[in-house]
Amino acid sequence: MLLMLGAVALLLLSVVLSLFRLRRPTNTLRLAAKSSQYWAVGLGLAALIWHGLSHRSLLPSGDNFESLGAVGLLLVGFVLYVQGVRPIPALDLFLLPPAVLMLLCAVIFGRIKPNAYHPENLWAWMHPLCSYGGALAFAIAAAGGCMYLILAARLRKKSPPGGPDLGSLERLERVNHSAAALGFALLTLGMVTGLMIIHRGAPTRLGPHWLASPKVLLAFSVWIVYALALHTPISPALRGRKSAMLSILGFALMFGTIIAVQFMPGSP
Amino acid sequence: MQRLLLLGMNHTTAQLDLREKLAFGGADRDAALAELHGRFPECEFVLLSTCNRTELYLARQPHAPPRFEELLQYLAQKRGLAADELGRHMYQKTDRDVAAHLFAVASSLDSMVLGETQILGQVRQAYDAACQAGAVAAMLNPLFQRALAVGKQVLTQTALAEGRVSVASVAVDYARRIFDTFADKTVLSIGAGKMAALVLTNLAELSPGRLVICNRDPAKAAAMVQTSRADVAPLDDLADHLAEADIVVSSTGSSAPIITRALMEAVMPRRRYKPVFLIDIALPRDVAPEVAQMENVYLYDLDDLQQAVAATRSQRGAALEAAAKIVADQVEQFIVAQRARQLGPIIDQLYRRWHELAQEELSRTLAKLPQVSEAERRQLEDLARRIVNKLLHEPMQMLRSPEGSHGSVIQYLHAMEKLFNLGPPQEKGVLTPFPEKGGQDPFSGEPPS
Repeated sequence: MLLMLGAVALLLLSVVLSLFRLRRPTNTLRLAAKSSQYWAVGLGLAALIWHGLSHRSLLPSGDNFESLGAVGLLLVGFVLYVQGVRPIPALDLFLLPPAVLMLLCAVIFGRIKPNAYHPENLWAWMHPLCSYGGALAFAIAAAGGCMYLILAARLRKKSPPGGPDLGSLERLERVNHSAAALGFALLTLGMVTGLMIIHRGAPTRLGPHWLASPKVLLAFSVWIVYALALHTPISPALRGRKSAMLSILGFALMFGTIIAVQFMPGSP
Repeated sequence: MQRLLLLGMNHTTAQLDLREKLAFGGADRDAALAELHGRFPECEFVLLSTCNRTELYLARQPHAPPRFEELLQYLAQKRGLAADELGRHMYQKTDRDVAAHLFAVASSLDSMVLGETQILGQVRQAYDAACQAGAVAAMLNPLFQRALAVGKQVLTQTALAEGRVSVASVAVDYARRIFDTFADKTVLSIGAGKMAALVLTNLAELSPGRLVICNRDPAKAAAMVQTSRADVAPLDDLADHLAEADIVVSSTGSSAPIITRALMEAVMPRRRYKPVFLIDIALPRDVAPEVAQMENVYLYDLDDLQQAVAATRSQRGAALEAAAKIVADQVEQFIVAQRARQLGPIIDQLYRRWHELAQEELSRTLAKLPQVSEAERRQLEDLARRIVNKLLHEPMQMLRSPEGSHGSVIQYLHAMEKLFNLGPPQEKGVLTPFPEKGGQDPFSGEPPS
């Protein structure tokens, strides 16, 4: 827990440094922000490994702490990857906050509602991996959507070049669409595996009225939203700002699903 | 002891035709460096020649050739120009002002377009060429290395290199914010006027996949094609080309808009709502203003682009101040470092001489005092050393500090040599006198900086 809190603190420091960079774009600040992110990933990984060893789980999906922590750290990893390969300078300002949120959820829910998960078959094993993988991709899509909306607004206002470098609309749309497509595929798999678990009669926390449970309703609404957002090749009128707004809405619902899961009644 | 000299011409002192005549290409520059260095082997040379400037940097002994007149004569002869005429367009700088000027040049503060990054590479090339010709040594090496570092610092630590300063280049910046890649994009020019040609020239730096020119007069469009390798299309096919184009530059002389909202509403579904960047540089406007309200259409007219240019210029005020401060600080640091290097040997010599004198006098006195023990002798030697050190400490500190001296360093150096009968230091290139700002070097007889 302490290691993960350390990672959160370092990520917050990185966000602050990135904000300072908006006013004064120096190389020192860039390096400081980047090294904070690397240290945060290091600390977070150490926390996950420590936790995994103490709980004898090989994959980071044994409980809330592992699942949410892994999603948060993978988001930071994605930022580091993009900034290393072909940077979008302002990306960390949009992806690190959801990463911090995930890590904080990992710490909080890992403490008060660990929800230890013991998969008994392939479906039960795949279900959390796909669902959390979908959440990860949706967070990236939502960040891309946010950046798209801000950049489109700045272009419409005809604000002069300068300010945070958000990349180009075309690239942000590509990031948004690719991440949404990946997340949609993973979420679909997650939902199918969930249905299989219920169909096979395994014990779940959803009870007999599982179809009306907040978790299922929210997950289904996320699925609908992203199905619409991914509709742009068929209905191109949805491309651009509408697609970006749908991505943000989808992630908000997905986050709501994650929270709803924590407060589901019944036994795991 | 060496002096820094600069003889140069830039866009503020000469028109393009004269700058072109004086410009040195890579091979010409190398040949000129070799010739100058062969003629004056004790001197150091760097020749910086770009489209906006030709500058000859030189380091030499204070009284040695070549003088400015000889350099001017050489350049005029080399380029077949009249020395008098050339001299009217050239500036001369010495010592501190040479360092300040070079640092400003490397930082693009002396460029036609503030914040352009090309100049730093050109300074580096000039320096590398001089290094290869063996024309730089202890004086110009540190100067140019410091200049390159200052240029990099200014361009990375200030916002000077951000934004553009012309309508055409602002349009390119906006295009980069809309599109990621350009090899798969089509640029459509409606009209074939001078402004359109200028914008297309700037857009060409993005290497778009295809360029189409729609014009009422096919002959005019064909003339533009010769320089820009574009396809020509009649204006009647405008809707078809709008459906394919990603960037549209419009500059016709039409009195009514030729791209209306109705036209774009018909075109957008055909282009599957892909974003389109419309640059309307015509007066009166070619694109109806209500087109800007459409989704995925980014319309910029001349006013918008000019406002962006103005905003960029005003934003640069702060960046310019920051850059100027960096340059001023670095010039000061360079001067202080050079001052320390040039005074060091003379001060060492003075200390040595006075300590020798003290030791001589002490030995003479001790010879008259045979009863002095070894311990007492050591005490007396320490006493003599401390007295010499204390006597010299304060004046030497004042001499080392740039604020402490009111005349030029060379004056102090000569005065010290004369007053204390010190020989000139032998280390080549170490001593570099820098007359104080605005002062005149009385020994070289050269014009003040």
